[in-house]
Amino acid sequence: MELNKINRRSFIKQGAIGGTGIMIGGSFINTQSLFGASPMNLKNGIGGLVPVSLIEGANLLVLRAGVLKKPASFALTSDLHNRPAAPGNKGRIAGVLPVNDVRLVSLLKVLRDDKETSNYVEKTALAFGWICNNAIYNKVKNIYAEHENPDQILEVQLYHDAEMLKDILNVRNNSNLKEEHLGAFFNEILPRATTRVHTMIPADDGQDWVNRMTNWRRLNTQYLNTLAKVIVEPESQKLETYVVNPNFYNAGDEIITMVRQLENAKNIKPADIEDAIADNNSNSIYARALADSYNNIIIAGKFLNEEASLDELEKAIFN
Amino acid sequence: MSEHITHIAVYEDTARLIAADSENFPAAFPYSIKNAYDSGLFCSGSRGNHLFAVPILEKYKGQKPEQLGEKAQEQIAGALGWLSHRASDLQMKPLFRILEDKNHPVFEDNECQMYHDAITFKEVYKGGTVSTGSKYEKLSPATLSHQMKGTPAAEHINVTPTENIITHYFMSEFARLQNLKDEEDINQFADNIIQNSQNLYEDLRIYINAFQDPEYHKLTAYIYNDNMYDEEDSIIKIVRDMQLFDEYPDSNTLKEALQTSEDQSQYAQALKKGYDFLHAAGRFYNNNMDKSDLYDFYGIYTESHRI
Repeated sequence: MELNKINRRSFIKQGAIGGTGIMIGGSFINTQSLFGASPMNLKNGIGGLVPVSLIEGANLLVLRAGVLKKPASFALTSDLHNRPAAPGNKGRIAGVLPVNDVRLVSLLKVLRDDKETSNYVEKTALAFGWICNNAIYNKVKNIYAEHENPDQILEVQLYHDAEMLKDILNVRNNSNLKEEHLGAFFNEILPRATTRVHTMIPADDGQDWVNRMTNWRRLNTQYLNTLAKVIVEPESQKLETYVVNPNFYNAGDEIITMVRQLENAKNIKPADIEDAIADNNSNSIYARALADSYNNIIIAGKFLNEEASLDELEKAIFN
Repeated sequence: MSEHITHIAVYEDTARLIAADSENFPAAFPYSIKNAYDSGLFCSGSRGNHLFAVPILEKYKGQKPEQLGEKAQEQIAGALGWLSHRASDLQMKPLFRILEDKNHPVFEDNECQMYHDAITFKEVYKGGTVSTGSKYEKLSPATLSHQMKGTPAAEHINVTPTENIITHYFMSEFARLQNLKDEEDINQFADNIIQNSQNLYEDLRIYINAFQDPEYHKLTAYIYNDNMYDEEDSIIKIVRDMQLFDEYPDSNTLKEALQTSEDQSQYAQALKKGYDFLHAAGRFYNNNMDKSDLYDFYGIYTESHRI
């Protein structure tokens, strides 16, 4: 656990998140206790929509490349309709796992050495998602480090979510889209999602969970409405500072374009993915994080088959 | 009736019955439901009623509205939502089991539950033209539409990949809210997060088809044969009048509707059961009923659940 402690300290030192509290995604997190008291844990990482989209995109690219063998390859696919639920879905929640935590390697070792372990494919998906979570965090942390005020870090994250989502929504240059309509649309996804899960699973501390969930649902609506506002009418100075200047996202980057094509049920060639990954150095942060995630999922897949060493794995996922 | 849309509808309608008959309930109940409406609503769509509802009531029992802080109100509303969940489950689950036992080549219980939600969406929420009473649970025609058609933004945006990302994001937030204990043993931790996070396994496309384009054999088997919903039922008329026109019943009308509900549709009977469950909760809250009798009343007999 030493590495984990070191990384937690360096995370604090970089001023990535400071102060008394911050809303990450829809959750208000008390950062005073974020890394201090154990057990903590599910509360670092960057939160919001960016890790989710990055995990989804990287897994989709690896799926199209067709380079992983089963059962690891089973972990790549998410699905909103399948009964029983697609095990790959568990990978998409990995944005809540602690970044640069040495236990990611421990998990991959378990998966390499014990193919009979429970929830094998779900755990593989979780490990792949965790890899992506590291990749985006390690690229974006320098932007966060420039802002000490927690509210401003929240705002950076919001602008990043908005920039990425604008691309998925395909709303660039669309003046007909109204902020209130977009906000309503985001909020209307929640009852569909809760219908899809059949019933909500309360935490073991059910009474406190009622309060946490109540609070989250309020903040979530607030977050989604603000997201709509930033998508439709961003403040140009903030867009410049948070997104454009650090080159956070460029919809024209080839690797990003490929993910968007796959998401829209269009075909791309595996060889073209390889080319785009190889020729990626000058691209945006998001594109480079996608490339890192893609490469590292493949290395992890090889590691599970004993085709890559521990050293290669560690170098890749903690770089 | 054990699906999300029907559960929240039964909660909302039961809450209306309480509001219409408030003198027969502890003041803390309508007060908490009014102030923490959404807490009751999402608990009505949650598991765990057998573990959490009674201990919450016990914690606050006897307290008057002015003694209850925000968190207490949320928990009380949550407990009442959980009890309405139990009422619908007890009413409807036997029907699903019968269907299961039949081993019919076409009809099956999961789809039956989805048809129930489709009918509730049509009858209670008028196809999404009427939303819930919570601004955090926004129903619209898009709720049961392919590509979320019917919400104005859908015409201008790429719906499917957006919904995919946001849905997975909600799942990660729900996992975060589990507050799972950190574990040195990562394999154990991974099992915990996998088991305690939500599974997306209900195919919404079947709900959508059941609402937009229902198959008549299935409507016959799943809805009509069991008399799942009848808008003419007196208790249903009462709650719809309250929902749509803000018209409250007089006490005799309400009393009579409750008394005759056993001859009415399954949905009407679920409302009566919800009313009865909350009424018993009220007697317990006012120290007029023992905890053990309350657990018996709810059919919670497993010793470890009688907390």
